[in-house]
Amino acid sequence: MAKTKPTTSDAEKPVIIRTLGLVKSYQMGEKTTYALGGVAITICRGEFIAVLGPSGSGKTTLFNMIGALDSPTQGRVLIDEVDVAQLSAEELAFLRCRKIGYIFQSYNLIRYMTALENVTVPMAFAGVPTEEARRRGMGLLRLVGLEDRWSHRPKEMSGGQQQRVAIARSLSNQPKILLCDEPTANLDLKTGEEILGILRRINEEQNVTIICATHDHRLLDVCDRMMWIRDGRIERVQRREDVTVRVGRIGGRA
Amino acid sequence: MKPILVQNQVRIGVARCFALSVAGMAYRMFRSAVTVSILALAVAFLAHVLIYGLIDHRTRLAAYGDLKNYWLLGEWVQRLTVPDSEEAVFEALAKDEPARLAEYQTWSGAGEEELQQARRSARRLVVFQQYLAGLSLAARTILVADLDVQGVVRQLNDPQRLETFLRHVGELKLQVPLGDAEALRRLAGEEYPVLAALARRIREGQTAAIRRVQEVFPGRSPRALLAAMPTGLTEVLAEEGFQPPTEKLPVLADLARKAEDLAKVNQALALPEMVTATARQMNVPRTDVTPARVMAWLDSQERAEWLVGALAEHTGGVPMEAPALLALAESLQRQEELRAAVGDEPPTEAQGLFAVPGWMRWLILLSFLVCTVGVANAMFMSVTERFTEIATMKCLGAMDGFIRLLFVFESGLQGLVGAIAGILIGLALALVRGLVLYGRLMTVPVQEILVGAGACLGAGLVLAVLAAVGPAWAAARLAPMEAMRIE
Repeated sequence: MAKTKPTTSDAEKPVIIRTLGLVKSYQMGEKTTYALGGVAITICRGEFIAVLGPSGSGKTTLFNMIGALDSPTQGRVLIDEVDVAQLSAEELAFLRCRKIGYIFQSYNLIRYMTALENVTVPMAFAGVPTEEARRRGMGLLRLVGLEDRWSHRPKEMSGGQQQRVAIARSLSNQPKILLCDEPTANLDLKTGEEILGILRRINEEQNVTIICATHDHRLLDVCDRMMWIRDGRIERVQRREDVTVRVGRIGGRA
Repeated sequence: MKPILVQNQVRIGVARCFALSVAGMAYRMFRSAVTVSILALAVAFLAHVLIYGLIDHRTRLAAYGDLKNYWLLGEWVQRLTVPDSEEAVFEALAKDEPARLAEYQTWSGAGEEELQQARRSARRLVVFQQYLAGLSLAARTILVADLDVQGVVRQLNDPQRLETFLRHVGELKLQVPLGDAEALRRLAGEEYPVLAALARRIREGQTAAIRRVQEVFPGRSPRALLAAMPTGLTEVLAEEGFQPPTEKLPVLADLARKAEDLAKVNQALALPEMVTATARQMNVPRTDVTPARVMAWLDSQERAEWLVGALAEHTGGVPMEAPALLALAESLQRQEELRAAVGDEPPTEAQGLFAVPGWMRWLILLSFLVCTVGVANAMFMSVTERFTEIATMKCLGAMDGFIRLLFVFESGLQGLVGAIAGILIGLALALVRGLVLYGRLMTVPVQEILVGAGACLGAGLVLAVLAAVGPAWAAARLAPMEAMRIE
């Protein structure tokens, strides 16, 4: 069991992401399909949120909106009270580069770069001088425990190691928000647990808001709140302490 | 807590972008190599056509220049021996050659006015001649049988014949020569007799001039005279009204000397004892031994030395050493090659791509079109297989411009390498082709080839970048959320 943080009410914590009546619809011929039908959520700074739901529930769509990767048909996404829809292409790039970190299910490391080069790519986009980028990149690799593998290319690393490089990369410009899309889906149990541990540690030590779309029920164990999505609507939002989660383990260890 | 301040993203340096592009290409070496080869092929085709065209043109030009010197020597030897033929006089009068006109004026003693009148008549005569030459064989047979233009004009002086001629022209539904019957009548009746009289005076004047030159330098043939270039020759020639091309005289003298030497050698080779000796040495029947064959056979130092020895033994000997004899044989060989290379036609003025036949230009255009499509396709493939990578980069803060530049650089660099490879291939092929066709005659215009190669390089680069436009823009438009897709 991860240790629980002191609980505070939403009103006391500064809000970092707010959505207002978020609707996303796709026109398919004459039929209109709703991926999201009016979602209103509020996420506070430093929270660890798990977004849960079956495939096709609109989970990924919501995720893309929050991450400033897609624009809604109706409604608004406010990141730190800034309306994402109002931003220019340059400002969006700035937001994605420095304020939001992305972690993908299939890691999405750049194949022809070493671990360190992968970690320093966002810093290059942010205009960090090469020397400083290397120093900071090595620091981040140390944080995820891959300091000695900095010169390895993705195909020379295991899935867990690749995902750890991806986490280091997502942190390279000290983001305020970390968006993880099924970060453990491609990993085995033990490695997945390691990744969750790292995410939890980042969340606690650096006060980074983490939003995680997942099927992995172990995540419920480490998150603060969980949002259940079904058919493009928030079905329920639960606090971690309000639900009893019992995760069974293979091998009989409780 | 610090609020999130949203600013504009910084632009990434071009050098950094270039380095990333190169790294990406190095990883996909095989695909890059395919693109480079497509480009190299198209550029090689263009470069080969262009560079070979330049070499061919320059070689022909140089060869024609040499050949013209030979012709000039022949012309002057003839002009110092016999007067110009009537046709030559008419032709020269019709043309605009100041030196020749000045000579004619001196020899005929004609005034400026008379000369101008004669030139106009001569030009009309040439027009009439062209008219006759342009007729079909049937029409020509009916109208003039096998007479040449002067014969025709002389006949048409008779009004009755003129009338018959014009009636035939009308029956054949042809155009009346010189525009109308009156002009033709004037040419035949008035202008031609005057012109012919002038030509006669010119030729008489030239004959007298030739005789006086021979009196000053007695016992020497015109060619020997030109070969020796005795002091006072140019002055005497000028005094007698000849206007030889002064700046070409040294070249002509050189050629004349060679011709003199050759004549001596040929004479010696034709002696029966020499023929027997050479036939044995060459291992051919006696009847096959001609001076020209012996000169062609003469291609090494040993053979030249043997021939000099044989000449000394069987004849009075020739005043030549073996190397000189060999050089003479070589210059003879070269003259043959020149004739084979350029024929009698002067080379066209058109240069480079303009000298290339039309269908070839279309072929080049087509090859470039196909190549552009090929490169664009390869670039699209490169973009498609990197969808996730591009989208991820955009998630990490890359801007559209950066992505675009990435692919333009990729294509541009491939274009550069492909173009350089293509130019080298094209150049090598052109040199080989030139060597095979022209051998040692080949002239390589380095400066023009460099310009041509530069043009090919530019064409290759432009092609590559043009082909990259579509794929690069497609890549830049890619939505960052594509990164969420699972491969």
